[in-house]
Amino acid sequence: MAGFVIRRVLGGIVILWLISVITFLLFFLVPKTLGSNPAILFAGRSPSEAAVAAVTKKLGLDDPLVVQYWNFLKGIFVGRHYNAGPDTTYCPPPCFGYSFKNSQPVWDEITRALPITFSLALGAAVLFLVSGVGIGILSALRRGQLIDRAAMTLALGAVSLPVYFTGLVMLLLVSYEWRLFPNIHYVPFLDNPLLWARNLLPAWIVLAFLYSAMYARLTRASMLDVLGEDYIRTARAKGLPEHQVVGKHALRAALTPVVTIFGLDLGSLLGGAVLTETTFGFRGLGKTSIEAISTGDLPTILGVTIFAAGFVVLANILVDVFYAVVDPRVRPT
Amino acid sequence: MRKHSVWIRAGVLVAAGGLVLAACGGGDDEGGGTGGSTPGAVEIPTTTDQLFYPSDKKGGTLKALSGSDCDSWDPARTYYATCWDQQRWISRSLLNYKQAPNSAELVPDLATEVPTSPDGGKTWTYTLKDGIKFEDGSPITSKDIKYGIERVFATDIINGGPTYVIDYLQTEPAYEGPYKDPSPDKLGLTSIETPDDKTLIFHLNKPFNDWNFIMASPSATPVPQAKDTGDQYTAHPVASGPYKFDKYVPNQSLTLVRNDQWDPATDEVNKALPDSIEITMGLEAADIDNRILNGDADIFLDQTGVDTALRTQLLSDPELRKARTTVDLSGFLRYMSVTTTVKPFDNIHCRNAVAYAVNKQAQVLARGGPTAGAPAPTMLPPTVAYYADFDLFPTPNSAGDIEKAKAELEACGQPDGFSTKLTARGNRPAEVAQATAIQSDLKKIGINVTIEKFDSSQYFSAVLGIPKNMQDKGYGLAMTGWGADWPSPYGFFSSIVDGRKILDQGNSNYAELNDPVVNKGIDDGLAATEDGAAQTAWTTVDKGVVQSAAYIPLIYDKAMNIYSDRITNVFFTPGFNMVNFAALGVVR
Repeated sequence: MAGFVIRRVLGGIVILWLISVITFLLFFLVPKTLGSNPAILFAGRSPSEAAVAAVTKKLGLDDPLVVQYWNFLKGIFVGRHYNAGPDTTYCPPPCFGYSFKNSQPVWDEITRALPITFSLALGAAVLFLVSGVGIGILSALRRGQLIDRAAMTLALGAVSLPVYFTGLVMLLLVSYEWRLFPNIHYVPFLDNPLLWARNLLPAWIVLAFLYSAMYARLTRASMLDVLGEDYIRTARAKGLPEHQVVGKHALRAALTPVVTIFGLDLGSLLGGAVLTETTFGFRGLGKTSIEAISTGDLPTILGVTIFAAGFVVLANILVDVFYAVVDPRVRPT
Repeated sequence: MRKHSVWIRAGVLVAAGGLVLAACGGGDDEGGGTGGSTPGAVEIPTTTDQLFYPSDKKGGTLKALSGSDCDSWDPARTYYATCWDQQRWISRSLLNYKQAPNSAELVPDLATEVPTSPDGGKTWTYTLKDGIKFEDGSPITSKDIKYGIERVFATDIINGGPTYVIDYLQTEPAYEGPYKDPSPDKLGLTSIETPDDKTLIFHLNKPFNDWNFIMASPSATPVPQAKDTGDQYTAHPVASGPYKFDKYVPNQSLTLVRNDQWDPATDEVNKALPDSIEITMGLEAADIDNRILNGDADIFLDQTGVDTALRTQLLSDPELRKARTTVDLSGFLRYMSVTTTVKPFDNIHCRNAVAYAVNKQAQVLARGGPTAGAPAPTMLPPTVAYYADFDLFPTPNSAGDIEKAKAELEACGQPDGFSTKLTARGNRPAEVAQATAIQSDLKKIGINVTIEKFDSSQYFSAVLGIPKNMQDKGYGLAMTGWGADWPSPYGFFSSIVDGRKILDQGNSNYAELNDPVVNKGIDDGLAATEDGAAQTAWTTVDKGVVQSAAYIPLIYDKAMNIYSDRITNVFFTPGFNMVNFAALGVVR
């Protein structure tokens, strides 16, 4: 088991490394081959040649690509000095690059965005897990009845509606029309937990609406599968009360795939819910990366991408390990 | 299931990207594309000629929204018009713009008076007022202003802002900024003298009659050397103006509170009406409109106009429109450059053909109709001094003249037309709509246009700014726009039409126009000391540029902006190309 975990972690590190290499090449090599110097992007509007040269030197853009990449990688662990003669900019570890557009280490950007993304993802996750699984179980138990059909129709609708639609409708209704949640803005949890929840609630509901629909469908399918298994028939035959059959025997088995998917979903949600964050004006990782893309802030794009990829890789490892714990058959792989 | 959900999310992400990019690209775009609905005679208050809701009542919190944070809060590093306007809350310069509708008149701010140069624009002397202080209570001296200007020279650290002070104050050997300054007081720039704490003498390396405008820009903001944090200065610029930083979370929010060291007796310009100012950043266009409409906020700082949805609503609701909106000229010109080094546009008749064929009414519609702009016959927009009205390519209702265009094609030796390429910013829907309209206009005279789209972040630096690239790729036509850094014709024309400023990289004279009449006109206008001569010179330049058909003016940009129902003192200042924020109050 320990070997399995170690193998998975090492695999994850290799994947992260590959991602970092590819994104690095994408953002620093591609502009170069197209003939535009990334330093021009950092040096401001119509810069002089001397300014471009100085920025090039400071960012190390004149070094061979391998050296540039090595400096980037090293910076994550030991920090990095950007030098140009007597002027030095220090980027402390973990240095995921330095955004010369925002005049701050990318890590600061990430740590500022992270609580917002966490708040959004975790709150929504609780909502959609509880409601989605609940509806799924109910639907499976009442298979074919009105409640099942109603729930599944609703779920189909919810899965089909994009967040940028439901988000805007939500804003229109609760914020502009009914004035229940006016002037939505992010308030840090530690400042005021009540205001924090109040401002996030509409966004949680919008995200949960989409996800719980998927979870309801998944739970229902998985539950129906399990309920048709022989051991459930056996459990019923030996006279176990229905709540025990469902709650203890069926549910545990049915939830395994749900938890798997949940792990992966949470991983990608923590990487930033681009649309929801953008619609509600929450500047989490998703919105940060979109802004970085539109302003050509290469170090921020690179840093956030690697960081978000980290969450997905971590979630995958956790799910794999979880699976291995539950199902011994997967361990040798 | 997994595959399915991944697919959904990928789709959502792509859609989000598109949505956001469209919104960001929207910076100065009035809205999406088709335009279709001509609202007829729309009566909308226009800030360019009057002051709305005058009031001297103090108090309250001005709640402002923006699409994104300022490029920088460091006065030496900011270049967005909206940020120059916002700077006036926290910082003062030597001079400022008079607070009156559409006034480009300069008035003293930190200085006691607006100086004239005794030697034709080479020497400029300013005297500082008494009682001016930074937010920490320390007095503002001439050395603080000199230091603030010196910072601009450190281009490897302090970049992004305008570099006019380097152009006119650079010395031999070159000064490299205070951080590399060998002199102990870091005030080694010899072209600025500070004989005492109250006096600044500038010795320019060439005559420049517009120097006072530069001294009204954020470049002339005092920066205390002891508080200079280099490239971190944006986190807390030291206030010299009526407000100071209270709480700033970059890209999210900024709260400004009164600066108790600011003495209103020293400041004839700022009224400083609100008690505090709250800026919420990074919101979506539709969200911004709705928050203001519902009274959650007072003003949209980007001043790029309302989103398509609200515009439709406003155009059908005259009462709401009258009560809550203004339409402002933005001082911005949309134009098309015709590359004179790409065949067959080296022949003026081929350029003339394009100038006659373009339907400027269709251009206005492409940007969203009459609330988004007006057809432009001249390069100088009406908000810039020495603007003169003329039309050298008159066509019926500015809608193009196919006959004249065809005659010019004939004269060019291309009676059957030809093929060429038109560049545009692909992530700006309105600009793409403009390009498409031009494509169909030119089709009518047999010119087949291929539209090539680029991302706005690369457009000027990697495409238009490199003449060799334009020639090699055969980009005969290019969509672009321009607003001056200060409201004088020199500020408007100098970098975009002067034939002596064609650069191999970072070029702004995209058509590579090098016309001796235009070049001389710029020199004459700059040297002119009285209004008549200046008017003649600048009109000569404007006419010369339009006549060359190397640049085809298309639209004077406008924006229909929405305000809360409590905002006061709304008027347009050409120096910022938008409403003057420092004058705003929230108590009627």
